[in-house]
Amino acid sequence: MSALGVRRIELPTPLDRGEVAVRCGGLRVELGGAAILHGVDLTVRAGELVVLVGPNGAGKSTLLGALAGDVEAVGEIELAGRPLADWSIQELARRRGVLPQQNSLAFPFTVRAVVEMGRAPWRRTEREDEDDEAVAEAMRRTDVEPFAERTYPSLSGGERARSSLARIVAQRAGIVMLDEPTAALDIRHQEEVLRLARERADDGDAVIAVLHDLSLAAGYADIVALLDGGRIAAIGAPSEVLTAERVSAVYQYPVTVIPHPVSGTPVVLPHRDARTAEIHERAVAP
Amino acid sequence: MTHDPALARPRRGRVLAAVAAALVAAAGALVPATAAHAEPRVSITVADRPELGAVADSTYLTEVVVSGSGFQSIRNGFGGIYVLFGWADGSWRPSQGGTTGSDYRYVYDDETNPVGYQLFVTFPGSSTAYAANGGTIAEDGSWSATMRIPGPRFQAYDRSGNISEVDCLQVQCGIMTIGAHGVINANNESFTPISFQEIYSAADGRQVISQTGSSAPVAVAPQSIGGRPAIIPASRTEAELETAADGGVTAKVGRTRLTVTVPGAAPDAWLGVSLHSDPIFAGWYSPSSQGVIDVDLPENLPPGEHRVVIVDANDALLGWAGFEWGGLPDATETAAPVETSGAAPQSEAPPGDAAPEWLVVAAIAAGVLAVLAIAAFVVVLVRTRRPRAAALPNASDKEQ
Repeated sequence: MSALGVRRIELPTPLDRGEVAVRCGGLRVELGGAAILHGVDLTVRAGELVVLVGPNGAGKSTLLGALAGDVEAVGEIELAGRPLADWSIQELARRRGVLPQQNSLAFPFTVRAVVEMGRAPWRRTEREDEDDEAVAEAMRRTDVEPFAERTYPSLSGGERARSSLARIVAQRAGIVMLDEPTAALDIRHQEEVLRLARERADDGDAVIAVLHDLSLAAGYADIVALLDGGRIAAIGAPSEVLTAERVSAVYQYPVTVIPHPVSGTPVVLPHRDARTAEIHERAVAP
Repeated sequence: MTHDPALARPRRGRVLAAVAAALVAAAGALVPATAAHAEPRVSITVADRPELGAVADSTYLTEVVVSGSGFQSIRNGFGGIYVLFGWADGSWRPSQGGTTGSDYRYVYDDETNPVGYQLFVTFPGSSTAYAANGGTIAEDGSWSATMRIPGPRFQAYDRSGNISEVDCLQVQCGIMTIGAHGVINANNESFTPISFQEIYSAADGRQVISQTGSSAPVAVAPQSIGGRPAIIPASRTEAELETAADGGVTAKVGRTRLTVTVPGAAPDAWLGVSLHSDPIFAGWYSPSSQGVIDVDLPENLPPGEHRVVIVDANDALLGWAGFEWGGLPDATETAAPVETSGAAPQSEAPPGDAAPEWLVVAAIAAGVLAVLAIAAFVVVLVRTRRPRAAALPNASDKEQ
């Protein structure tokens, strides 16, 4: 009965590489009477991985939430050139996928079912035909296949994080917003998640991620936006933004920045005093 | 060789009949009046007190029986509905862009040890049916499950993890139903208000559930919430009612509702409605300027002779009227519009829920148009075939 209206939903046209995917100007957010963002301007283009970093309370997650349409904001926000307010919730779900910081599930769905939920926006559209392939690829890429039939509430924090990420990957929305996707992950899975984000961007998606680990951000991002007190303190290539002087000032903690011995990307090292070094030496002594 | 009817070349007449049948079927599919689901409707009674409808205790955990009818049931569909307790504003519906945390806020369940603050009611045959703790939406659009309401105050989270507190003694809370698994389904969205009153006492040994971060003292239910009284009217005996004046109250039975006229009732007044003879409190209603209220008839009201009893906000008897109830209609018999939703939060449901006349007219008109279209199609088909039939005699009538 496709001729009778099942598949007449207008689908978003894919963005060309370099096309503006997300843009905000003069963005302000207040939560509970307190100003969290004070006039933020940001542009993210298709094919870019933009990482938002900054100390606790700088407004990273709030900025991501505002761009996703989940947090009420004042100012201009455009998605694919159209004001965010003009998008219906269904249209939004086909244009951008959001991985929130917390993923709570009250029902014991299997990991596979959770990933399949990522395909909900495409139901009754011609892209429904991609469902099986998208779910399988997302599960493979996020390494959740070994526990695909386990229930979500029974998983460890890291397994949950990857399952939730798999759902967003399966959504294939073109704009990907990740709020601390590596928070509960070990080194291997942190790197794999960022590599996946990098590949999404290389394939033409616009990817925005909130991260705490500055070296991880520097290792994969095209652009790093350093937030401080609800404003963007610096934005640009990782090596330009993540200088020892700026990071020390914004985080109010002394750091050293050295180039990664293999990749050459900035590695941010917090200073540790001599006593810490002494303890460390004793611990590793035979 | 055996004869396979599917392979035999049919005569032209049979082709035309098949085309006509297909067109009739297609025309039928375009007429919304035949949808098997009606307006979603939820009725709520306290689990061990079936005479109490749409209320919960202002101090203790309340177990309620939640029953739905008129829901869309999709065989082998992905998901079903989530049933949630919480607050919703006027634009909460996900199908209209409502988002959790800002337009609606609900009680979370403990994901590692769920106790039933949220229900998942599954479509029959859904791939996630194993996780349903609220049963299945039957093919007639009905379902029923037991759910827990922790109390009138709770903490909710938005999608960014920000916490907010909801106090249902200050704002109108209720039971929401939404499409499960992120599948937005306007046909299955509903909001049914719940009011908080003293139902249990400490002597009942009930649990006090703290759903808020602070250890705020246990709330006392106010006498009213947003003007709506929060008391349960006292039950009148049949003898009391026999001798009391009926107050000129009249009642007209609809499909799922009772239209009650209370002469002289002011539009800003609140009318408490109970159904007798086994008294069921059906809630507080605000009348129209003509003193009319539409009362949702509870699922547990047995068919038979009943009496609707009306009191004012101070529980003074205003009058009563008798009515006969034949039971809730079978959903498959209903010819209801495919409306997007049920009653809106904090507003009364629109009066009268029988199929509107325009819909019946539209259905008939669509049928007539379909027949005309088929006739035209047949004429065109026959005409275009005639010359060929003439050029090749018997060709079209020739059997294989």
